[in-house]
Amino acid sequence: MKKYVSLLLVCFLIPGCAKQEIIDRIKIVQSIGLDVQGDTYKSSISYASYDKKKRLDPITAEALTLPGVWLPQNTKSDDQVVLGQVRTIVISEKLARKSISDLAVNLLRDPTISNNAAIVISKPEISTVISKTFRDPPFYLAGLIKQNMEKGNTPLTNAHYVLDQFYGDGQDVYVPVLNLDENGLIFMDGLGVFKDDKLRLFLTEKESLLLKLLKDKPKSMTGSYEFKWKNDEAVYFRVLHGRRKILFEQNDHVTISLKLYLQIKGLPKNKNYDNKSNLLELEQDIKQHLTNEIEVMLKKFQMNDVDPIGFGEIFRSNHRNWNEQEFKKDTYSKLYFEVNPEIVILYSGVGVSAQ
Amino acid sequence: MHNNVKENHLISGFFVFFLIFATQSGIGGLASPNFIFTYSGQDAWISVLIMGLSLHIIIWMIYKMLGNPVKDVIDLHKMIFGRFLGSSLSLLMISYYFLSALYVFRTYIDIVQEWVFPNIRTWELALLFICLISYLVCGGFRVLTGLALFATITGLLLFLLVYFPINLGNLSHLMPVWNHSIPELLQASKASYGIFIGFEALLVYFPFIRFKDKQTKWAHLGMLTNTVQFVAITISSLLYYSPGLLQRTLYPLLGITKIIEFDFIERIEFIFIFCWLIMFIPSLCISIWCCTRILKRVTHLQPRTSLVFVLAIFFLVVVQINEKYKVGALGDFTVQVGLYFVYVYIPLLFILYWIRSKRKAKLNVA
Amino acid sequence: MQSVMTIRHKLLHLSYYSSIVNHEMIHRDLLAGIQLSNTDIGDLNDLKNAIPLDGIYMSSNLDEITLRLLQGFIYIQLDNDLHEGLLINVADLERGYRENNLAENEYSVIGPKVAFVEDLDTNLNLLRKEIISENLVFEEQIKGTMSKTRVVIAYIDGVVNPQHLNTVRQRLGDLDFDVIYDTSTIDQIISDNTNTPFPLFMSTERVDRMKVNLTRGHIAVLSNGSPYVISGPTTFFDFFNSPEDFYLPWILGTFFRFIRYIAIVFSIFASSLYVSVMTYHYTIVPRALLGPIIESRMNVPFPPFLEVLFMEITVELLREAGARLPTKVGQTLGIVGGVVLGQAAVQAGLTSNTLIIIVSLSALASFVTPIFKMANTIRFLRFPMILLAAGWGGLGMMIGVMFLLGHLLRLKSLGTPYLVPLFPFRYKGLREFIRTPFSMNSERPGFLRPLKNKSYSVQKHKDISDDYSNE
Repeated sequence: MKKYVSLLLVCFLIPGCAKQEIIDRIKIVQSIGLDVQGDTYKSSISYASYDKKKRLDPITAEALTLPGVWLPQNTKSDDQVVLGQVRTIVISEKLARKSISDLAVNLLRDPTISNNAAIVISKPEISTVISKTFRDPPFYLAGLIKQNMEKGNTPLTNAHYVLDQFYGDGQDVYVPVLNLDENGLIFMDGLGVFKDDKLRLFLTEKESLLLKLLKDKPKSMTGSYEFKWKNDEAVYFRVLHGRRKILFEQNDHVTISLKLYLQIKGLPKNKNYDNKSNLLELEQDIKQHLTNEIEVMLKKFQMNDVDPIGFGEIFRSNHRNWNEQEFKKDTYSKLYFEVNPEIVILYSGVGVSAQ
Repeated sequence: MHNNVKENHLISGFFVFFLIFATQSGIGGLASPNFIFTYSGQDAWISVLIMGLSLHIIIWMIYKMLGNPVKDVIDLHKMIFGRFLGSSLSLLMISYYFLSALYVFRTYIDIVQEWVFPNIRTWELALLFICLISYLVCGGFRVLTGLALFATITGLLLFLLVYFPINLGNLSHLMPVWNHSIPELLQASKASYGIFIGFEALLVYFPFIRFKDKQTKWAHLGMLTNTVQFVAITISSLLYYSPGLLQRTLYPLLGITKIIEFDFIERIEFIFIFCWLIMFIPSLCISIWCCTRILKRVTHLQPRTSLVFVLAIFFLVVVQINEKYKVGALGDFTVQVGLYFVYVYIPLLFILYWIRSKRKAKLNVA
Repeated sequence: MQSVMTIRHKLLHLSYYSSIVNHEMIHRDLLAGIQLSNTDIGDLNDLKNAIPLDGIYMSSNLDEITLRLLQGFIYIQLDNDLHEGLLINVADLERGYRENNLAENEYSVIGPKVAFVEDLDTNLNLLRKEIISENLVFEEQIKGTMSKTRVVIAYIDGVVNPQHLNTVRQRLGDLDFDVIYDTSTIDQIISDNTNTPFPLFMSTERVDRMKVNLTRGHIAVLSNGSPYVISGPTTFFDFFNSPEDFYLPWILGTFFRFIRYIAIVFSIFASSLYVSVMTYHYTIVPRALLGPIIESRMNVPFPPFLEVLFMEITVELLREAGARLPTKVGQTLGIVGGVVLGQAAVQAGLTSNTLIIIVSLSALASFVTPIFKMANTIRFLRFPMILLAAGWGGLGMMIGVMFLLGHLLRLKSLGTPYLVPLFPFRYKGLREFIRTPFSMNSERPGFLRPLKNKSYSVQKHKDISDDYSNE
């Protein structure tokens, strides 16, 4: 048994058995920005920096292939650049319109990128956005996106979902969109929906909430919504949680029943929150409004031939012999949607407004 | 034939549960189950279930063959085939256990190299593990049983992680149920044997069990628990990944652990891979122990010396398998050989044993 | 010392070692007794009757005389008959040894604080006073060629397993040593495996712990000159039981036991976890922690492995030095070491803040074990773990765990596996992990294989009535 001791001691003499990545001597990348110009891929990397004294610049790279630009060469950095904690991957609109299949293949094969990373499209230039993230505390962008997914109007999506939707049949990819406002702050600006691997159409903030209601799990069906009621009065409510069921009646008839639990935040001034008939009327109106909006959005999807809600997937799970091509060509455009939301107003505040 | 293991080396039958559970390390489930999904899509869990349940028959056969009187497979060979042929067949079995250990070992090193330490070299890791294996195997069978116990506990704890993909998953991925024909399902079952490989060590350590007839239930229970565990893991992989993505992912289970996030730990997959070490080391050690035991029973070579020998050859072979496709080829080959061993050779032995014992009974009566 | 005295016209030759006899007893009882007796002293028998002491032997055997003289006997020869004499026990047992021991090393807030002392007879007295049973047997032997120490095996006849007893007797009989310093010497010689850092016998100086062990079926070995008593067979988990658990309600006892288990795990793995995460696995660190960790390590020029090694060795130095400093100096230096060194090290850039907390907490946590020997083992086990973690990160730690497991699984204490009830899995033995209430603890632990299983019978409470169903 002495042999194992000596063997083990020999092992200790081997210097640098595994490559060391000492935590304060590496550059921990927090977001990658990808762009394409013609045939060249460009990337811009922002890293988390806790040392106030060092200069903060994004590291840029150019290459002919996406993997070449994914982990940039360390020619521009004094420490090793590592991708283990990447939280956001920002792609430019140009790249999205060209194709994301390279990106998907890269994500699939890389074991170091966490599946929790968020993929977003950015409307303004990549370099602006990435250098903006340097001014903010580390992982600000990741926190912004995550917070919006949990409590705001963005549906839950991350690298895993994107890959899932990309390779899955009967489901199209949708990805949040970033934009810069006039003060230079980054904000979430709706969604981008892909057809196969190319960007097809943009959705507004409101539509992205509707998509969230149709797609997300019950606990994360949250968001805030406002619309103009009759007489040009505005109503603002928050969705707390909800339930959803999508059923197929006959071959072309799809029923979507939603049950939403709301918290009314903003009512027109002359309405009383406590009045029962007021609230019922409000419920009816919200119901009507939502039904209209959702049906309009679904028709828009049909016209553009995209399926981010995944009706193809739901069809596949109900029919034995399902063919993706057939579905896309024939059935999808002929689907007739019937939306039945049911609204439950849970809370409307702890005070009584005047009157 | 009497039980030639000393009384104080015996373990009670209850431990067979842990031994079966631990020797089936399930490295096949970790590494390359995408063949299962290619053949049978969303019904993969049915394939795994079929495979698991069919192995119960094999275990029953083994208990019947080795049961009365208690013997191990070497004695069985001698009984059926005579001394010379029996001994050579036993020596051939050494290579089977060697192969099975090699498969588990190389696949694990491959996973560590792929996911955790890309720069580490095969021989470094191999040397390190061989030190560990030699220390553990030198402890004897009781130490290996204890390790199996700890492996089972770790396995059952890690199994709780399956909550997360079920939470995030999509039930519609499993439907429609039974959309594939029986031949497709069976093909997938064949491919899934890599999950269950390893329990054949039962043939060699059988005399170490304090045997009473009703103790077969522990082995069956161990196999059943393992089957249930892997069916659940398969279902969770199916729920989590869409069918298209599943066919392209090489390590679905590890991919699932990539997304689990707690407040105090970001990426669980490293912890998962390291805890898997506790789970596959008993399987590896028991296979190597089987090799040295067969050598001792057949050639009366001292286990300490033969261990050095076996491990040296092990190291040399492992280092040769350098490239990714070689590892994959090794995996496929091992699974094929394992399938033939379990589904062809063991029933063959059983039939021959049956004939033999009937003949003996007739001779005794006459 | 040899002297010649004339008492009542008889010449007596006295031989004794003046350093170990009780001079008062010689003067007051022995000589006075001879002087004041009425009868005439003709031969040794008369002398024997005249002396009012007990335990007088007549002997002419040179070996026995030598042995007894060394034990504190006095040899009296009459002048007219020099080849035979009387051996009288006048040993001075109390000088030099302390009288009582307040168990400061194994302190407990509630419960008796009586502990063993160096004198064997006092120890036997303490044991016999507490366990009033005719089955408590003391077997005495003399061990040690130069120290001639009295070693006593104590057990409760009818409960203890005779196999264990025979093993102890046989090993003790084979023991050959020159000076028995302490029961730890005996421990290391008769234990099953000497190549292990783990203690295989429970050694304690508290009387109540030894009481519990004896009644459960352990075998205790006491030796003269040692306040520690060893008992076996033990398991790994016995070393984490404290007598205080038994004096508190069982829920609190269980809670404190779990805190001890967590502390042990923390103590072994904390520093190596730090090394492996900082060096190899930065991806595990949650986002919110990245900032403080990187900031605290920014000024340190060493890689984490060297940093940890430096801090660990400093803490060990502090501990070793603190153990040897005289009390007055020790207190000041303790404060200096603890506070100033830590702060100064951080400011000089030699370590990071996080590491100081981790190292000091793990050093503290290793002393959570009530038995000192196990605490040392836990402290020692950290270092191989740190080395392995520095080499291979988390994988190294896991390999260390496997080595540890493989080692523990092999250990046996007097033939009982060390990891019972975990490894030869005994369902009933799982009671050892929590402090079960006394109503559930009426059977003796199975691994000791006692001859009598039940130690007491449990009465069902008749006075607790369920108010709700009786309303």
